[in-house]
Amino acid sequence: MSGSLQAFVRTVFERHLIWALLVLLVLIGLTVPGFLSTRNLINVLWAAAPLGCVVLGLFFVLLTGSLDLSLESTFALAPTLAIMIVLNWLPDLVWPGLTMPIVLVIGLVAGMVNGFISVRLGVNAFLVTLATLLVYRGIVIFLIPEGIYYLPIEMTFWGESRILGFLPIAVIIWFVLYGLAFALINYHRLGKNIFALGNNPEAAFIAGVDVDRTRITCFCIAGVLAALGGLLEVGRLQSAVADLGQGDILMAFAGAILGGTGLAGGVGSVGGIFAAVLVISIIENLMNLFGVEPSVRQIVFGLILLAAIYLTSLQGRVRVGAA
Amino acid sequence: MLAVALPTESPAQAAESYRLAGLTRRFPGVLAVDQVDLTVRRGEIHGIIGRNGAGKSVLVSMIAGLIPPSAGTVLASGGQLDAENATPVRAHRLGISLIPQEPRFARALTVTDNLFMGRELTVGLGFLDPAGMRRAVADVIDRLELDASPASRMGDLPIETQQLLAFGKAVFIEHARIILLDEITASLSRQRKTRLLGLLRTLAAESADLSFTLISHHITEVMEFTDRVTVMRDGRAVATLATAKTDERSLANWIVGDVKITGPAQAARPAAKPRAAAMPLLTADGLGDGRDFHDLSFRLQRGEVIGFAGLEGSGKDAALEALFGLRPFRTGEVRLEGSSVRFAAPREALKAGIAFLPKHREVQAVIQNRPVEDNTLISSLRRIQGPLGFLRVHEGQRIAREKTAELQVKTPSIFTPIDHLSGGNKQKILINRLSLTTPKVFLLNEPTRGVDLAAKPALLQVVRDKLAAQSGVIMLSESEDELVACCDRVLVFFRGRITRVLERGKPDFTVGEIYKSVQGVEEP
Repeated sequence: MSGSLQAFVRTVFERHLIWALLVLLVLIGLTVPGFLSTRNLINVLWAAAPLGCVVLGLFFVLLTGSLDLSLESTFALAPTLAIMIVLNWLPDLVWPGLTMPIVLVIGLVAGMVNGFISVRLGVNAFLVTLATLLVYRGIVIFLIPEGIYYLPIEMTFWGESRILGFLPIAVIIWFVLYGLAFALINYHRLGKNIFALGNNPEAAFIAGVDVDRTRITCFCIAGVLAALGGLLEVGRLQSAVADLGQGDILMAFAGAILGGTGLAGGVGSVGGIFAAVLVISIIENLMNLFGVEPSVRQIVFGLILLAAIYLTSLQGRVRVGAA
Repeated sequence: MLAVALPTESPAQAAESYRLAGLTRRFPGVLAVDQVDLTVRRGEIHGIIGRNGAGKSVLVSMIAGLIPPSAGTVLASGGQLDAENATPVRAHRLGISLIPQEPRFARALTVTDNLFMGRELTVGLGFLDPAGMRRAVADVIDRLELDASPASRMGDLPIETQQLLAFGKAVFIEHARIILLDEITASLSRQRKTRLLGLLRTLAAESADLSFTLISHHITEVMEFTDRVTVMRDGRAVATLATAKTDERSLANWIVGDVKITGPAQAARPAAKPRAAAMPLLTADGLGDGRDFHDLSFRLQRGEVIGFAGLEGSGKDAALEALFGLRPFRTGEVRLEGSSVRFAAPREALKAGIAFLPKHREVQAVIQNRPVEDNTLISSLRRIQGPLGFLRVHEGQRIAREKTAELQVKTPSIFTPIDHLSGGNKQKILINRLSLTTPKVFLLNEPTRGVDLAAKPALLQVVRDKLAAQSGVIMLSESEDELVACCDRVLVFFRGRITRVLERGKPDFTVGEIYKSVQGVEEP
């Protein structure tokens, strides 16, 4: 019996340390009045949904051994352009209910631009996406320097409304996306190809994987997910502002890494990043509940993140030790 | 500190650069080097030759202190290396320096930085003497007639130049007295080789305490470069010959030994029944890329195993890659079942029915961190693909289990990461990966490379019995034994051309004859 317990503990430490961390945070939360209330928990999930989308997108790109810094700008660009199209440019032609598909298409194009330049033209992805990070953000600032408020319900619907009066649609979308991604990664050709090229691009190429196309596909997926995340955030805030999501790419990296995604490619799991997004969201929530001053919040958050990343980095060593 | 011969030395010792006495190295299950006695004289260029696996590189590694011997000693003036004390540092102190095939330099640093690394010249108080070092390096570059400057970044220089700089560093900067050159000539151009030879001669004449030991498996080079040559076979030094008094053919005979088939002899088999009527599976007609291979023509029948034999750089690897679409060919034509094919990428070749096992397993084939299952199925996901590209996972697992059992892959389960398995088992998984694409033609580059000696016959058996059953196989091997055991025909590549074709059943289908042709040794 103790043998299987030991094996369980070892498995947790080797693969699922992030879940242990999540449990620890929830236990801390139990001591805080108000944490366990339905309303608070829903808020935690709701606030996590947009970031969850961006982390998932980044996850796909990281698996291929690349990266995409521009996701936080796509996050703002896609809803901004969609809003401009629907409200200002073509108000008579486009029904506001089409906002969501328009957002997704813009995300796809934004991701495709990154993918095409970095993969087909062979430019370093860091530099390409650093440039598009600026360009996409620049377009947003140019178009809506003052922000747009009082958006029609068709635009805020996905991020704002709730079903059964309490469960935000954004949270459902988030869960469904992660479920889909899990299936795509584990039970789809694309997932097998991504892992193959992430771990050994040359071997994948020789084994018949269309390496370039798979890489570009991942950039496209990332763009779409970031765009969707942006739409959810716009709905949640019921407004679009020029600095929407600005700086969030670092948090997205934190989530991906905390979730066990390898920066060198080919290593990571959907479950891991799901838990990591929850961890980040709960830390923020707990700081709210503890009433941590906004001015020191970032310091506290950074320190907690450092500790968490150190802890998850231990699991690599546990694994090496066990081998 | 070793420059002055000790007065107690006898004349015989004075003439001797180093001596091996009963040098032996055992690895689990293998006697790699077996009681080698050898004396290399001062001022001599001494060759060590033998086939792959004859023990050359282990022997040299022992002389350089990289591998401690199991028994025996390396004696140099000033000390010895034995089982107890052999280390690279000690070998270095004895004036021994090994110039490896691939020099290990800091690529981002300059030539000067690299050549003086750890032994910088100073003007006192630890301040460097850059001018002095630059002069010394410029001197080395001049003497080697290299196209480089002391300030060149090492990584920007061609590998051949780096190799020669490693040589220059050992001789002119570290003043090593016993220089071991491991296959250094393999990547050198013809002209460069001749110049290097000239330099070795001059150096040996200039400073009488130098000796050069040249490890090679190229007979022509050894004939050209050395004063004496020691032949290694099966771990033993079977003969030391004066190069001037021997010829290529008798040297080849020494190297091959009695013409006996060693290794996986049980895999030997009668020639495939020729099916004259059948259309050839694969035909190459005048194939050439204008650089590495020229005017190759051959045909492959179903059920047949063809071997490509040749030295590194003979064009056999390039030709195989061209057949798979990994590199282009400029002239000629490839026909697969009668229709002309030309592939732009491996996946096109796979689709057309050609499967390829690359030579460098870890770099080009194994997908690290991924389970046996994924490594088996990656080339044939189409087979288990369902609606919308989602995979029938259980079907995939069933296939992977079946194939794993079929080739008796030793793995705890199909979910075990491939990294945990041995070379032989990895190779079996890769062969499963190929055969699951049900190809018409298998192209196998060194199917037994990096596989345990004991596991090799089984792999060859798979090639022979399973792969060749429904398809045609082209197999490359550096081991003539394997080719003789496995192939119906062996095409010998020499300097980019097919120079000889040996057929099973003919009297010249022997290890010795293949070896001689591979070496470019002329018929008498």
